[in-house]
Amino acid sequence: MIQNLPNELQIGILNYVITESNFQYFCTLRTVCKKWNAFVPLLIHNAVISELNSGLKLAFTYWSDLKIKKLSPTYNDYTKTFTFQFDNNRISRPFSDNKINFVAFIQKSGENISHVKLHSFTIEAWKLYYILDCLKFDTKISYLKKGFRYATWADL
Amino acid sequence: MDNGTSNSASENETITLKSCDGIEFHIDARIANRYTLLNNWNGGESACIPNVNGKVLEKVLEWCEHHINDPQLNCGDDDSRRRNTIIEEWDENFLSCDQDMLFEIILAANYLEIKPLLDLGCKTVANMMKSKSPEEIRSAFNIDNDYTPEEEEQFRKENEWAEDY
Repeated sequence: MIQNLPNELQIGILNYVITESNFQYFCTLRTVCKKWNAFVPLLIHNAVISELNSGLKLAFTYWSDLKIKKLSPTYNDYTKTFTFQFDNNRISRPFSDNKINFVAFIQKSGENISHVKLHSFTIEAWKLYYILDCLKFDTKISYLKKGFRYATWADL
Repeated sequence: MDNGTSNSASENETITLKSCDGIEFHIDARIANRYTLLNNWNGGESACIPNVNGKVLEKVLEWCEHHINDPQLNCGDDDSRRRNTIIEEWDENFLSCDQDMLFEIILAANYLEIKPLLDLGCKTVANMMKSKSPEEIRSAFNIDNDYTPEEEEQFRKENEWAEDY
């Protein structure tokens, strides 16, 4: 019986499942039982790290600055958020409001395949997972909630 | 380059392993050389592997024997290996056993630190879940639904936004 396996093995199995599933199916897995739902933060963390370590590279750049800064995220297990490091000295002009606008784009084999505009350094793990998943499966990013705004190049 | 076969044991050398229920297996010493924990139990007549019974150990050793010439993976290969759920035909047939045996093999592979077999077992179970609804997963793996109807409704609402995805 699968539930007799130690937690780390159940998590290992679910890691494989979400590797080849989309975000929607991941939501489905949460509803199987309470124990699996409790694994969600760890599964998301694993999935994000795996994506960031793979061919998909997440980079941030100030929208008017062509310089690209590669970032290594840190994970806060308490808030379930990823925080990306950024060199503030590279920002060349003041911002219009207290928020900082960045463009995140994903490069796959040297080709930009999609991008989003972010308003924060810190992002909830599930949102980052969702974005990476959309990009992985080449799905339109939509329905981004508070903290993000989807932008097309025409908006920039 | 290390192709996984460059160890000190010769082809004709054998060692004896004993399962927790006392069944002895005489195996190619090269298998034990590949997997540290198997080698640790090569301690002579009284050595036995706790927690793994004869039926399961036989299957594990059968897998090890078939893969004796596989290249050994480096740590860096681990992530790429994990990133797909493709399973070779022989392995697929090998793990086409009942669920209890499949989970016993996974537990034994974990216990004996035979990573490729552990990954294979996990991939097999993951493939069994693919495209299944929560109800189908619960039924296939005999999992109790411990949510109340109210909690299920709450989940449904929470997941609604992802349905257009």
